[in-house]
Amino acid sequence: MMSLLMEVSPSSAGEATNVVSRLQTALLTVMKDAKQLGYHGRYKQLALVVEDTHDLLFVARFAVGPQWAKLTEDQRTSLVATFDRLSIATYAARFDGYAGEQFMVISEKSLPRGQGQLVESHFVKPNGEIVHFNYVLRQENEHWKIVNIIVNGVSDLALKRAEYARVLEKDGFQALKAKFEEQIRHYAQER
Amino acid sequence: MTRKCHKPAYPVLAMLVTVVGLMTGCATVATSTGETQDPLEPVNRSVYTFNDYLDRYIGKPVADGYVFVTPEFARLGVSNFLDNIRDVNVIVNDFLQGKVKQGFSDSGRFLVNSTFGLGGLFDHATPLGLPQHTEDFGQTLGVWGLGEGPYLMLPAFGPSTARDAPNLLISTFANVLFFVTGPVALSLSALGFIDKRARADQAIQTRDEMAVEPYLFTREAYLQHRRFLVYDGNPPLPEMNLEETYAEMMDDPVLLPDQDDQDSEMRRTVD
Repeated sequence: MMSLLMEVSPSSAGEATNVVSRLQTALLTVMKDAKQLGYHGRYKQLALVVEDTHDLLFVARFAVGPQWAKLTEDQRTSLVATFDRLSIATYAARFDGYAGEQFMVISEKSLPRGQGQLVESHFVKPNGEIVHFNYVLRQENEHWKIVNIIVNGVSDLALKRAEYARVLEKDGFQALKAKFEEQIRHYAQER
Repeated sequence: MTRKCHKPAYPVLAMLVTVVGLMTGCATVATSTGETQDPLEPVNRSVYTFNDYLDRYIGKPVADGYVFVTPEFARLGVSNFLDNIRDVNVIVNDFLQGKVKQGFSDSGRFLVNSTFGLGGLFDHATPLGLPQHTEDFGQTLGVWGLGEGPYLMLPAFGPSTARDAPNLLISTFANVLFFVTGPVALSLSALGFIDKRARADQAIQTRDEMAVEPYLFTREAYLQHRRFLVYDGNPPLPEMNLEETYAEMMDDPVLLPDQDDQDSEMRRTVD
């Protein structure tokens, strides 16, 4: 099965592919050193690359949806800052070990109506099982940034939008921020 | 996510499709803005809470106990055995979807594992180039063009849709254990539930860690993953109007991407 996969070399890859490859290389590095680094080490090592490769401001804002207009400037700034920490913490917590997994970039293509680039990749587990990791990137100030990750058909951005908009609408800003903080604490304690 | 309704090319099952079609209509559960419609949400949420308690006090403890007392190789044998039985349902749906080549491949897989694999305990088919596929009657109805219908949370069985719910019945009839009676059948059916719960443990743990609103997280993840399966791994991208948010961001005087260096520095410090 592995032989059927095509690894895109950086020289032939597009800019969006390079961004995804940079993230995936960083993830594999922390996975391989996961135990020595511990959660905090992984967090530190991933913080910069996650911020550089993702448009976290856009993701937070899109996920909040129409409720964004009702937030004060302080609330917006605070929410985005907490969301950034949560995003890094999620990577640090979930990529916490290595057993021979590999990332393979399969293709890069333009999305219709100028919606950005789609980079399709596979996360190959040691038993040969393939998890589809597809990334949607948008260009911002000449830099391509990840705005959506679709894992086996499940869009992270769509999940967040469904959840965050509802929590904000039903329980308010403090409740959403408290949930973010709770998740960050949980990730830090568990590993 | 809209799929155009069309008549099935399989006349024998046209009546069944018509019946299910009357029940579900060709409506999808997503609006043009990509937001999911969930007309049964109040009831679904009650069932979700019930299922959560059921899992917390029965499902998870039993599955944890099973994992604790059963060696890994034995659990793998049980999973292989049950998968092999379920492959019959996969084969039926391969052919119903017109996937003839895959149908023969899965038939070969079933034969190899049932014989050389000692009744399915060992998976000798995968290394021989006969990989496992995931097909069921809900996917078949989707391939035939039937809409998802409303989202359903079924007691004990979990997330589903009007289109997927009949799969419970079909997969039961396609399961050889259904035709076996007595305590052996009951034990194997119970083992099937325990095995499924044990294998789903990591996914449930991920949901518990990542979900801000677990009911919505489960619903959206289920619906999107089912579309992924119906489209054999190539579903249309979810309808999301990203441009609107981008345009708003450009007009936002406070939080342009390069203006939050101070926050950025703060984020890099570890909690």
